[in-house]
Amino acid sequence: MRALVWLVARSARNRFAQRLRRARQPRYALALIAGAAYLWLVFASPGRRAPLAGASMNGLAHLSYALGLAVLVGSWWLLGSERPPLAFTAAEVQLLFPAPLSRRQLVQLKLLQAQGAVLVSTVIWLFLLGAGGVAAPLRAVALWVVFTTLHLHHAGASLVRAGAAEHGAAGLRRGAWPMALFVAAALVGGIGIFREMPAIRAALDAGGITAAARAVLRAPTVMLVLAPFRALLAPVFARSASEWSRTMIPALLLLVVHYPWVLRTDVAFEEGAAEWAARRAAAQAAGGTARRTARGARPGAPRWRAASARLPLAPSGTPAMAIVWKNILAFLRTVRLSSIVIIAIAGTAGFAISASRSAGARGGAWFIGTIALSFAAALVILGPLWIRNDLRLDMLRLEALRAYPLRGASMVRAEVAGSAITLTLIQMSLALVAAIAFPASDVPAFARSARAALALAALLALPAVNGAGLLVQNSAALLFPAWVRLGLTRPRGIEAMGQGILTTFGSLVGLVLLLLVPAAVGIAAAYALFPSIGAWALPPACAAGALLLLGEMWAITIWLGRVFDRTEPLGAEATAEA
Amino acid sequence: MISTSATGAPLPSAERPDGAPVIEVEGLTKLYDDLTAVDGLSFRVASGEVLGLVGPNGAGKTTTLRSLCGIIRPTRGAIRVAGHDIVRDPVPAKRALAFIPDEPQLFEYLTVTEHLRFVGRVYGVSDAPARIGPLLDELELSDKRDALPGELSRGMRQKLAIACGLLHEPRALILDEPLTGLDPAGIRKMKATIVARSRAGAAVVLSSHLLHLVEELCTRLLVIQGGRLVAFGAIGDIVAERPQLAGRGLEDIFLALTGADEPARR
Repeated sequence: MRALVWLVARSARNRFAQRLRRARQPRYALALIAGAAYLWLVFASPGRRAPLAGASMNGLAHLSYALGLAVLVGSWWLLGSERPPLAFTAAEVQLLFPAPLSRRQLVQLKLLQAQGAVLVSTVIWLFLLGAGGVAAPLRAVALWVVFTTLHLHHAGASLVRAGAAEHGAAGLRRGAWPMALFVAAALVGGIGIFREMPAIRAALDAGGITAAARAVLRAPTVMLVLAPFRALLAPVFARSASEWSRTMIPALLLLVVHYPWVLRTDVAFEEGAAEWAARRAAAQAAGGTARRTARGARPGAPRWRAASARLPLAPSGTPAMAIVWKNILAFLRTVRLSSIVIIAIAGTAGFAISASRSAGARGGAWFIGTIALSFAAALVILGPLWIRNDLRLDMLRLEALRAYPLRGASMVRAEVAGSAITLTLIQMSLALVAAIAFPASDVPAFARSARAALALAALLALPAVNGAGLLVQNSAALLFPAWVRLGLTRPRGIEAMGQGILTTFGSLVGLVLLLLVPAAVGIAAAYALFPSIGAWALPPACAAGALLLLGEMWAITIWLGRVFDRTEPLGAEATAEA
Repeated sequence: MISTSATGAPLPSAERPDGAPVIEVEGLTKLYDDLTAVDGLSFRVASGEVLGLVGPNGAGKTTTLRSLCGIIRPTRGAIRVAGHDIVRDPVPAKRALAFIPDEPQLFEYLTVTEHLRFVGRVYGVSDAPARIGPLLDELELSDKRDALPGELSRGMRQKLAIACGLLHEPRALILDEPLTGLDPAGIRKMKATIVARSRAGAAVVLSSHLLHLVEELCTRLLVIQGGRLVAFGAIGDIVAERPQLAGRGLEDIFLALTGADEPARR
């Protein structure tokens, strides 16, 4: 065990030394400063009000955090985790699994390694919660207990789920108690909320969301279900040292009972861990991300399934269309179902609240239409950051791309077009939802003719604007590969956060510059035409702006194509590894 | 010297093929800052010829192959593939060649068949659908046609990369350690495929550390070290120019040419 402790300590020391060495390079130093400045602004700026300044034991904040933890823990049990119970690296699998170490020692190693992340989380949340309540060292201990317990619970829940998957009914029996406890808690909580629905509706009508949330969280059954989470969080919300001492005992008790539970959960986790390690190594080599897959799939098998999406491709035609086809197919296969489910659940919940308040489906329809349109509009900025199946993935396969008989400019245009088409189609679908929802609502809106003009204008402008946003992102990947996240893996650390901030800021500036002249021309055209044709001035104005924008983009892609033709794979690969 | 293929049929080795040059390299030089990876390399590969590119680690083999394919730009010198300059006229040059790297570069979200459809469209193979089936049969991938690369073994991934390279029937085939990850049956099949492609008129450049493979398949040998040409020609010609190498196997010849035999003997 001493060797394992030494391994953890030495790895942490070397990682820290590597970060320090990296910080000497200007790009990482600048990113580190940007990241630190951001953290200071968010967590420690003088004018910031501490979230727990007026919080009290079992107050709304305490109960809300407890509910948040309950939802988090529930997701671990219900949805599982993409990571296996205990994630090992390929090196650990190769060196430690055949070594004369017991299974318990391997679990202990992982728990020990997790302390790094636990300590970082503790420090971040200490700053995030700010002053108020007990002294910082006491709150730090309280937060450490929370995060350590959560980590243990996560490992335990994952092991129980893995056991059920591996051993069927036998595995289920082994994890029966915690499973039963979770199901019972979910049932009790659900019934409690259902019984409180009249009070919740009344609170909504009378005092809005906060009053309704208070009514939900103070429901006796909900208080009962949240009891362990409240107990775990209680020392964080303690107002005095004596209250802290008193509440720390149950919190520590929760921590203590988790440790033997995890160690005794008898699951052969090695296979899953080895599979994860193989997948992660393969994914890193391919610039992708390691995710869990269905049972029985070979190591390295992807999470997605080929059958999940099909798209035709004619054997002849413009060669660059193959790149567009590939990227759209990649999006369809890699888009995370869970994000769509979460959005759908949130939308349905919003609809339910809206419907209950306005006592009619027409109010709900208006709500859905508004959400759909807002989401479509937000995607103009967020879409190019979200949809990344372009050079931001393919720069890691530059060797293959450079060998294809395509000019650099064609390649860049195809890479941008794939993501732009995907993004525009998503926005159009959302606009269609809004178009269906709005006429059903009783809220006064634009006249039908004006709505048609607006829709046509959006149809003309969106592809060009989306293309511009994506061109900026792809330009950054091509010109500054060291500053852009290539592949699907997320780098960690303050300097990585700083790099992200600087890149996002730079991209926004680039987008604004690109849009400046076309927007000015479009606005001028609309201004000139509006007196004579009203809202119908928008489509020609947008068309003029879009044409100008496309012209700018065409010229930029000619230059970027030359850059692509001169970019050598070694640079991009080395950058990704850095 | 051995001059039979994996299938036992005699190879057109030992004698210089009469085909027109498909790959022409003149004074290829590649610099990385202060490092000279390739230094003034010149050679030609004719139609039907299999050129073995050998050299110790760091000799510049991969840089040479990547330059031939237009993946990296030469610092100096010229490369023509099927008569097209790879730098000035890259599209027709690249359309005539295929590069099969030692580490297959596949798209993790495209199936085996979709990879071939993609490559068919990129290379303008209008009859790709008709070619895909026989090619998958040839490389024993038919059972895996709907599998994603993540569901394939290392050897099958290599076979898929090979299939992608062969679909458009390239005039120049450039292979970097093509047997990595293949099982014995796959190795035999691959060797037969290389022979068949060269007999069909393709110019093949094969880089490998497996000297018995080079000896078995290649009509000529290009030995490089430190980015420079050390020896070039049929094995018989190389030996004829160096009488002290007479009667020695290719491994000994290689070690003697690259100066690695002395430490080995000690």
